[in-house]
Amino acid sequence: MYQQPPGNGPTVPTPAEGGIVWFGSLKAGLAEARRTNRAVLLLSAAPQCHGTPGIW
Amino acid sequence: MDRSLLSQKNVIEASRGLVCIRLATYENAAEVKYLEKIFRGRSGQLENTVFAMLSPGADKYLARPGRSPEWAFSGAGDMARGLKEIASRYKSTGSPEALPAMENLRLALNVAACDGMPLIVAASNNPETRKKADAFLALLAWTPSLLGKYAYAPASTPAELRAAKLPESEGILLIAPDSYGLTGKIIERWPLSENLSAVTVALEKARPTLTFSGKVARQHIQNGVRNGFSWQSLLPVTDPH
Repeated sequence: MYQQPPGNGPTVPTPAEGGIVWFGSLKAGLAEARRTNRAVLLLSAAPQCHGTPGIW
Repeated sequence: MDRSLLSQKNVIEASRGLVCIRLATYENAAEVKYLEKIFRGRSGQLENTVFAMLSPGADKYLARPGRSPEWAFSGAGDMARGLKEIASRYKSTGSPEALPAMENLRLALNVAACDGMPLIVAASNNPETRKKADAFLALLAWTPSLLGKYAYAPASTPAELRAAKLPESEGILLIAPDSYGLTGKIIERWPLSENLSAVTVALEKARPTLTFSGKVARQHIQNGVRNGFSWQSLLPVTDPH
């Protein structure tokens, strides 16, 4: 998700056993962090590569 | 960065003590402004990716912000230890309860395809029903046996389903996104009145059967261009790379 230009290796699908639970909205995520007094892991990434969707 | 870093078991486990937010860059003007304050690349512009560790009130950086977690952590082990240490600095006053969803179905489908995971969305024409459905999906999302196994979209209208080339209907839908996240296949559908335990059990059983392949970027992009599978972000992409 961070290699520019596109890397050669395949992407890794989310494990069926469960991945990180992501809030996809800043407003909702920060509100939940304040409410629960939990620190925040914040990432942002464009869900497209050279205008093609379906890949970080 | 190692594409698998965030899929490492120890990092995932450590993330459970935090609130994790992952935005889609260039899709929301207010979020772009926020991200620009955290990190701009050498060009002075917002680049495709941003990383930060924030205090619960988002008023303090807890690690070096930058373009990716590698700006603060040397690998999965270091990141897992770092996340746990950061989480331990704050006494949690509760567990997350809100629906961890993308902003809309269009984005949610794309991001689910990026992540290689199935998507759940509730659809109804009735705004009040959609509100209740979001609360129902939030309960599913934070059920321990389902944590991080499914992606979620906010409750949508049947018209939004149609826009994503999905059958226009009401209900709770389990969708396998196509490789490009522009549409998907409905795997299962439940009525909006279905009870929580029935859907939970069905989702627990379904997940191991829903597998997704890794994608090689160059092939994925070439095939996408050949077939006209393109993505227009809502805001201009300013990453010069």
